[in-house]
Amino acid sequence: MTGAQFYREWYNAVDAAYSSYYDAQFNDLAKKALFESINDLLKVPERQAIFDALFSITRLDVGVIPSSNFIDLRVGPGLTDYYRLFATRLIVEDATTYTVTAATNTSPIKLSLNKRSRYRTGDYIKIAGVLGNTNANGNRYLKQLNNFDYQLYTDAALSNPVAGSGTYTSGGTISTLYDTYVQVSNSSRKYATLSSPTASTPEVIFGDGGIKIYPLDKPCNQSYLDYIKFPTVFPDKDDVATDLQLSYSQDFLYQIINKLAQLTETYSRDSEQAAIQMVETKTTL
Amino acid sequence: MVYKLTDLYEMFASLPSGGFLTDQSKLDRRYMYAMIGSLRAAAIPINYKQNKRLNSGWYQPFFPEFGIEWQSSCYGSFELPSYINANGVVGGVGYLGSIDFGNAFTFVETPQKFYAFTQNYAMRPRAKDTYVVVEGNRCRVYGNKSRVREWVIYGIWSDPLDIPTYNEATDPYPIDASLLQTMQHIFINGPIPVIVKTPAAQVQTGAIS
Repeated sequence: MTGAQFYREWYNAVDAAYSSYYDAQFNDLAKKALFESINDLLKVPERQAIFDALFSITRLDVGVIPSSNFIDLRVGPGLTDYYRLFATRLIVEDATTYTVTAATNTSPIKLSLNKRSRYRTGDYIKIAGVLGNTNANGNRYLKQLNNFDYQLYTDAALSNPVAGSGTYTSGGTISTLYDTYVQVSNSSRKYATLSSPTASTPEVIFGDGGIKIYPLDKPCNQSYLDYIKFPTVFPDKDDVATDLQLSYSQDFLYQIINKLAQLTETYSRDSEQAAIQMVETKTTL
Repeated sequence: MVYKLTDLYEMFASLPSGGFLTDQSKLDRRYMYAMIGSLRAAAIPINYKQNKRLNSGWYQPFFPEFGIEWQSSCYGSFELPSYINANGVVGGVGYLGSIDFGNAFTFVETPQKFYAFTQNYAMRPRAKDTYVVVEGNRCRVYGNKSRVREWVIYGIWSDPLDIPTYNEATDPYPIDASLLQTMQHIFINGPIPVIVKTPAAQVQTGAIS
């Protein structure tokens, strides 16, 4: 459906008398109708309907690097196309008391910890401060060998081993990396101590032009967002080339047309009433 | 059947919400972890009363770190996580000992009893004897340090999350099927009222903020 076809559909949906009056404002009204239709859609109980209608403007797993546990969502300095949030996945660091006692110069590196840990195969950790065998440092996936020893991999599937780069001399601290989808909270829930966020169950709160990641003292250096992007394709009554269905489903385009027709009638009624009032006022005077 | 805490969270949080679990739900993860821990603590005495058995699946290993360093010929001590007394008589602490030492340590429930031992010639601890004395939530261990490399205590701990080596994402939660049934019964019908049902409208709009 092109913009011109969209215009024709709208023309059929409203009283023809209105159409010439609103021709000049059609594109602006269509834009407004589009946003209102999205907002209406977000209130629909059947959530699949939202995804069916907006799949073309929904972005999934968009990697964003937070700055001091903050993701700027403003169009200029932050994400350029953000509109509404669906889901947030964060990788949050939590420092531990585990230290490295050995890191073999093999492929993969065999890492030994100073005590029994909670780590199991597939867990994700950050290693820092290893001297000598410096390849051990970084974000690594673990394969558990026994209660103290682990092999290091760069991927969750444990297919890419980390090779050693020298003989371990000393050092090495461990932080747990929690990779999790988070709950959207709000300031009024900050009083709750039982539900206060932790590294393994972080929360995001909207404010300051973006989303803030809590707890603030647990560094988050990577996030992935699912969101509706800011619409950039709008119906233009003179456009006979752009196919609007590449951006919106046909059902959703008809919803926008209906919304546009409602807006037209509402505005017409308002202007008619305003005209009547003006006449009444003049008569009274 | 093995249940992980993350599975139990979804199972329990979905019960009052009618199957929907969204980020608008008040039954958030931390709240439900605490709730599941409480339910387990409440269900264990009930199940114990029914068949007078403590299921082996309720135990978890705990590897203590000594707060007071073990004296060479005397004792060491460490904090013990709080544990469940199934009926006030049967303690929740099971095997006490070292993982590389064949003998379990003698469990002395109170310091008073231990001091009584020391006053009794026949029962007085000797150099090779090994005792664990519980003083509230602190454990004193008497024995020869050189004979013990690493400690382990199996217990029915009040909150499995208190155990530092427990991984809630991968390790089985220390319950069995019959205990799960009791927990669900308490959760839905019992004295813990489920007044935290998510408003339907919020469930419907769900994850969209």
